This record gives sequence, C-alpha cells and structure tokens, in this order.
Amino acid sequence: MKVKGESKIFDYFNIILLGIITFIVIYPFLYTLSISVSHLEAVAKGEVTLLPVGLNFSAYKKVLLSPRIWQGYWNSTVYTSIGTLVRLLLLLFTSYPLSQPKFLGRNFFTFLITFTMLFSGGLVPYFLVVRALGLLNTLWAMVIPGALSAWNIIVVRTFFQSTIHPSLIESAQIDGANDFQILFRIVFPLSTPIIAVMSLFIAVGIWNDYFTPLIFITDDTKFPLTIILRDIVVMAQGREFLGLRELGAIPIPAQSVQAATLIISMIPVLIAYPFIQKYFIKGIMIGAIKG
Amino acid sequence: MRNIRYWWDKNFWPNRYLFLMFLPGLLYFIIFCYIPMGGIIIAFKDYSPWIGILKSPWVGLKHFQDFFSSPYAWRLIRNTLLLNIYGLIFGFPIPIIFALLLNELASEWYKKMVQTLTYFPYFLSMPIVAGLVIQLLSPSSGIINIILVKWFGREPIYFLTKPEYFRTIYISANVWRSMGYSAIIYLAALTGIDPTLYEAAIIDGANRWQRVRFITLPGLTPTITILLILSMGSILSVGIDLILLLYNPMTYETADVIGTFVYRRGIAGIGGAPDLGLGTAVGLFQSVVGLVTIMLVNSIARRISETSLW
Repeated sequence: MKVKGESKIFDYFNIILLGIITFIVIYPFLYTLSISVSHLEAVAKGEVTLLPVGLNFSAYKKVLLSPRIWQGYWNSTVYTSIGTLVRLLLLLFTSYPLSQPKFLGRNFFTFLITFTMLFSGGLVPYFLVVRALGLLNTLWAMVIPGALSAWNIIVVRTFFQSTIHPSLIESAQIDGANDFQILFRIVFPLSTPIIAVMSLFIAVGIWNDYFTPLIFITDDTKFPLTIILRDIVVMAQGREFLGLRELGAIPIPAQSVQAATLIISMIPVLIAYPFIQKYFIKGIMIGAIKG
Repeated sequence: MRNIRYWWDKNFWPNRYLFLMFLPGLLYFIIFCYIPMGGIIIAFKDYSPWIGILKSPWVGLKHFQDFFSSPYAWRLIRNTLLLNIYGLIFGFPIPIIFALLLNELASEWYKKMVQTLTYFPYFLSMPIVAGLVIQLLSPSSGIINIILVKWFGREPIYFLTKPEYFRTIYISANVWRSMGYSAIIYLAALTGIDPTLYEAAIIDGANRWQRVRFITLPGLTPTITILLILSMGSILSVGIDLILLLYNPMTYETADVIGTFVYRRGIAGIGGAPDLGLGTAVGLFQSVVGLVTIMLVNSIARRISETSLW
C-alpha cells in the first residue's frame, strides 16, 4: 500500500533485509553446488566458500557411474507413480460419499476419520499391523500405509460440497447415471484444480518419504532414493559405498562426492518446482480458507 | 425385521455405489488406525509374537514403571519438550514476521522472487536437508569451520558430535526449511483482510506501524490461534526424520527424543532385541499426552478467544 509522504526508509530497509534473508536461505545450495564442481584439492583444503574454485566434474562422473543411484531413482519413480495413482483414487472415492447428504452415516464416518488426527495407537502397533499384512519389502509398503490422511479428506470433501451444485448430481441421477458414472463424468471434470493439487501433495509426499522405507523396507535392491542418499551422504560412507576406493592417484574428497550426490538428487524436484509452486500455493489457500 | 427391510430399500440399496466407493477408505482407517489403537493392549502385556497378543500374559503397568524408572525417561521427555518449545519460540514468530515484511513490499516481482526462492527448501526430502547440514558443518572443509579457522583462528569444531550444538542445528534447519512455506499460510490469510479497512485507516491518519498493529495482526489472529493449538497437540512428538539422520550416540544427551527412542527400541532393535511392549507403552504415553494437551488448549482458546478447533 502506497501512501504519499510516508517515509521511504522502511521500504529500503525492508528490501535489503528480505534480500539478506533470501541469500541465507539459498546459500546452502550455492555452496553445495560450488563444492560439487570445484577442484578436488580446493575442496580438501577448504578454499571453497561461495563460488567454485576451478572446474572439475570427476565427482559427478563417479556418482553417475554408480548403479545404486540409478536403482534408487528407478525405485522412487515406480513408488511415486503407482502410489500417487492409488492414493489419489482412494482419496477421491473416500471424500465424495462424505460430501453427499444422502449418504447415511456420513457424520459418524467423518468423526471416525477426524478422530485419527487426535489420537493414534503409536508406531509399534502400526508396524505390527503392516508386518502382519505381509507388506514389508513390497511396493505396497510404500503405497498403502499412510495412503489416506484425514486432513486431505476433509479438504476434498469441502471442495466437493462448495463447488459442485447438488442439482447437477440430481439431474444426472434422474437421467439414470449411477454414483460411479456421476463421479467420473461430472464431479471429476469440475474438480481439476483440487485433483491437481492433491496429486502433487501426494507425489511429493511419496518421493520425499524417508521414514516409511526406513521401517518397512530392508531389502537394499528396493531402497528408494531417500535411503540411498542417507547411505551416501549422512552415513559418510560416500567413497566406500560407491566403490571409489580403488581410484588410485587422486582420492576424491568425501565432501565432493556427497555434494554431487545432493545436487543430482535435487534435479527432479527442481524440474517439478514450477508446477509444484503454482499448485501448492493454491492448495494451501483452499486448505486455509475452507479447512 | 421390517425396519431393516425399510432401511435397506430406502437408504442402502439406492446408495449402494456410494457405500461401495467408501468401503476401501473405511477399511483403510479400520486397519491402519483403529486396529493399531486396539494394539495398545500390548503395552500392558508381556507380548511374544509366537503366542499372539491375546494369549500373552498381562503385566499391568510394568512397561510404564520400567520406562519411568529408567535413567533416560526424564532425558527423553526433557529433550522432546525443549525441542518443541524452542521450535515454537523460533519457528512460530519468524514466519509471521517474514510474511508481514513480504506483505509490506511494494514491488510485486521482488515479492514473488523472494517467495519462490524461500519456499523451495520445503520440497526437499529430509536426507537432502541433513546432507546440506553436514556439508555446511563438515570439520575439514565445511564453511562454518572454514570461517572459524581462517577468520577467527580457532580450532575446527565437530558440531555433530557435540550435544551442546544439536538443538541449535535442529531448530535452524527446521526454520530454514519451513519458513517460506509457513509464511504462505499467513499471506493467504492476509488476502482475506478487507482492503477498505486500510483505506479508512489511512484517511484517519494511521501510520504504517499502526496499520500493521490494528488491522493486519488482528486479521491474522484466527490463523495464528488455530496453528498454535495444532502445534500444542504434538507437544510430545517432534519430527524425528531429521533427528534420526543427524544424531548419534555422542549427542543422545540432547538429541534423543521419545519418538526416536520408540523407533530404536520398539522397531529397529538397536541396543538389544525390539521391545514391543515398552515401545507401545511409551508411544501410548505420547499419544495420551497429545490428546489431553490439545483438548486442554482448545478449551482455553474457546474461552479466551472466538477461535477454536471445535
């Protein structure tokens, strides 16, 4: 809001302050990027602070030659694509009946679902249930547990209630359509914004999921990227893990390898970011205003 | 009999497809939420997988006594509470202030650029966040230690092995990751404020600070209240993903929390075979405290303000 005669000092101060904050937020990325492409000796001696020192892609070469990274990428892609499809359908199927007044017991069911936000049986019984179902070390361990969240159901239900006029559904019913036909032919085409938002929420959730594979997946050929990343970056096994020991003359500093791994694993998120940003903001708005 | 017939014809059969549609979701909540709630009885039994839950002998409150009399019970509760309290002190006002500053920007493109860049970390997985933390703190070539050694002539510090630094690292990483995201929730709430209020205030001669104080902040109060109540409900649970990635036995003193303990002793079986009874009991303690706190805070909120969850 511009008001004549009001001091500009605050405006300048504000611009500079937000610039500094933004720099602090993106600094870790710049730094990691610089580490990953700098000369190996410069990294080892601690000469990299902001910009790359020299240019060297040997760390990238080593990481990209490792089959583990590619396997992680592939597993994550499979989990995310199948998981998003299943979870999205489940979410829409569960939310739609709750938005229909003719659906008997919907208040009871809504309570049943919202109560799970307030109380849970805890991690151990949950783990035992998943194990008893035989889901450990399967694709479904990444898809089914945690598939539905009460919060998303309420947001989608509220969207259906407020956007889709009951008369539309009634007239389709009179024309002889059943509820599945109504859902696919009338409700879905009118709900593309919420469907886009929810698919992104779900996809990002699965892609970034670390805890689910940590407890449910122990077979290392099934590890998603998050677990592979932990092994390379956090457990500081970088070189051993990628088989870089026999490199001979120039040892690649662990930090270079880790930085290159981090940058490589951020690429999909960077590519998806423009879409994510657009729809997530919309999604938060829907959630904040109606939830 | 007649009533059932009537209910069937009138309510169920015409809506059979709705029920069919709802069935998988209902089963999901029964299997993954309500059956585990039933599994809470493990907390009161000496559970052995070979005998089964029902036949395992009852032990009453033994697991709770074991936990509360153990030397780490107090440490776990203290660490969990402190991480939450520090998380609230720093993690709560910073996004609000950030959103208010963004809201005062006159230039739309600058505002959009700042938002786009600060929102990005929220979409990175925890291992990436942990990896970036490790990069920055590396004792040999991390930037923080480079500054310490080269600018101040100090010895490099092995930050991730020192308990006294863990809370600062954890809170900073979380604030860094979620500041932009949380700010968007507040900015969304700000768009709901009637612009004529500002116009009227300007005509009445209110300066910028007064407009923020008397229009913007009251406009944000409902959102702030709701988010505060929700975060109080998880006072005994902190996000453990990042802790699991960054802690190690050397930093347990400040980093080990109830959630990580349940994971370690109840599932992973680090330091002995998994103790399912103990893990369940500690998890139950955590859930019950969460439920009681959220109800308490909600009723207080209902009494002193107009906003509450229910």
